[in-house]
Amino acid sequence: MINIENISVTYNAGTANEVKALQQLSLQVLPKSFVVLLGSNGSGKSTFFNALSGTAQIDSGKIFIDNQPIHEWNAYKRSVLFTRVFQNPLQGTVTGLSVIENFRIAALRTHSSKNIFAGVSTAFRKKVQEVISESGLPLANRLDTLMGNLSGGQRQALTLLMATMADCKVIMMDEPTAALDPRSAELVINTTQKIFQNSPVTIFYITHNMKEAVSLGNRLLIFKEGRIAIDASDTEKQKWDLQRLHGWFDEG
Amino acid sequence: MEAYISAIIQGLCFSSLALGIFISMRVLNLPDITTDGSFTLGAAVTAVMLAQQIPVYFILPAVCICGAIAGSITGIIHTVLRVHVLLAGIIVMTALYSVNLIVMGRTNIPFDEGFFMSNIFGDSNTWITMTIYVAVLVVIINRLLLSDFGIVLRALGSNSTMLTANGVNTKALTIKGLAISNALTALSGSMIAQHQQFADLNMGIGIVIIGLGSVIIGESLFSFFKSQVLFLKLVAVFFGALVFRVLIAFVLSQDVNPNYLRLITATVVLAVVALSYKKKPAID
Repeated sequence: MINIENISVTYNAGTANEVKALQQLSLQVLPKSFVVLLGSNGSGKSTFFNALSGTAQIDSGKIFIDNQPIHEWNAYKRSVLFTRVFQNPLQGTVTGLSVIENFRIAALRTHSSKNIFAGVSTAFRKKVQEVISESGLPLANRLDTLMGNLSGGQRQALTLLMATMADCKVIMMDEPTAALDPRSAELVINTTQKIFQNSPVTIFYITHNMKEAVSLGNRLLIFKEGRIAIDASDTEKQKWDLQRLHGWFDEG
Repeated sequence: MEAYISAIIQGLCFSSLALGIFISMRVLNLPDITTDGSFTLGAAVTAVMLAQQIPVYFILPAVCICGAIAGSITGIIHTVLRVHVLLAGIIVMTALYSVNLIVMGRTNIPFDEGFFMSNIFGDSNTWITMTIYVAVLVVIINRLLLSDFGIVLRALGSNSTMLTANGVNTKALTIKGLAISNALTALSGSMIAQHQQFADLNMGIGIVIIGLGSVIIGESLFSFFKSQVLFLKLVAVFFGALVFRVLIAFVLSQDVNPNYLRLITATVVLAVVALSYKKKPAID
């Protein structure tokens, strides 16, 4: 259970460039939810992610995950709970390392060893192979391929699978398909849905794609000026059509 | 011929410098020039400890620790005080000049026991000693870079955002990386001091360019393998150090004034860099 109470984030506070990115935002999210975040640029969606992960300092308010006051934790400590998938596929993976080494970094968050020479074991390789095979990605036999040699879509899909290695509670996806071609975008969306079905994670998914906003997830939040303007449940969301969504944005 | 043999032995001595530069410049992607100071520090510590008749097996660890401390200070200045790594390196390198003078007590310390490492193996054969030394070094660095710690270290230079998102303390990692890099550099300073049988306060000036030249030559050699195996990359860097010294020896054998040594070194590095960039598409 994620419980967010009245969080505010202000950039450049006290200057002429002051921006109130989040204003007294409150939200409760049940475990294993798939929440889609929609909103125009500057509406506070990415700041909301930054506030959750600890990379943006909140001015006020509280954030609880399973009753733990994570607003008191630093970004490193919070990273055990969160995984972020960025818009740019290059940001979520290390291109100069192999697929298995990228998975190893993700797994180290929760499974680090005190032995300085400990590395990728045969058991770990087998586990990663299983995870990739189960996802349906045709990459289970390419564990030693450099990440840089894969397509953007494959890298985004692998970033998602890496999230499952760390037993995190929340996956935050910031426009993960924005930089991808339609086929790669489909690969990422399918992988996201499989992960959501097969693991107990909560997913936050930022998009500017109205079609994705309506079809994905079981809850839709529309951000406006650092607040949640519309909070639609799955049943409410189903009644929305694309025209109505576009209309809402046209109104500003 | 003797000049070439000496050049190869020097190349073996410089191999740990090349590995150190490889870690800072290529793995961490940080242009650290603490090198000039930590190289001399390694030589200074060796000379002083030898003069104190401290047992051989204490000297190399002490040299590594001193180098690591120098690298850590650069790392702390860079990460905690947010000073650019180049400036942090210059600051520590400048400070080390005085530190080295304090350690040595004078500007030059000659000593008789050349290659004391031979004693460890009970054999005075320099070649065997140095070959074992370099082989052990390459194997250890390879093992370290393939470990969990090494994987994260290699990721640091190319995507620190991903590491932060994965809960890695990148500041601490940068400090550790620079410590390892400078420990290897100090080790190289110790080896060169043993080879030339003296430690000199100015022996580290411009040494970073020798390490960089070795790495670039090594990378050019590595490109022939068309492989991504890390061990081969490290072996190539080691051979880069050898080839670089032989190249310098060849130029000097052509009746060139030894005063031009640094100029020649810089020119050789420039030539290698220009040749390696020529393979890549031109930048408009």
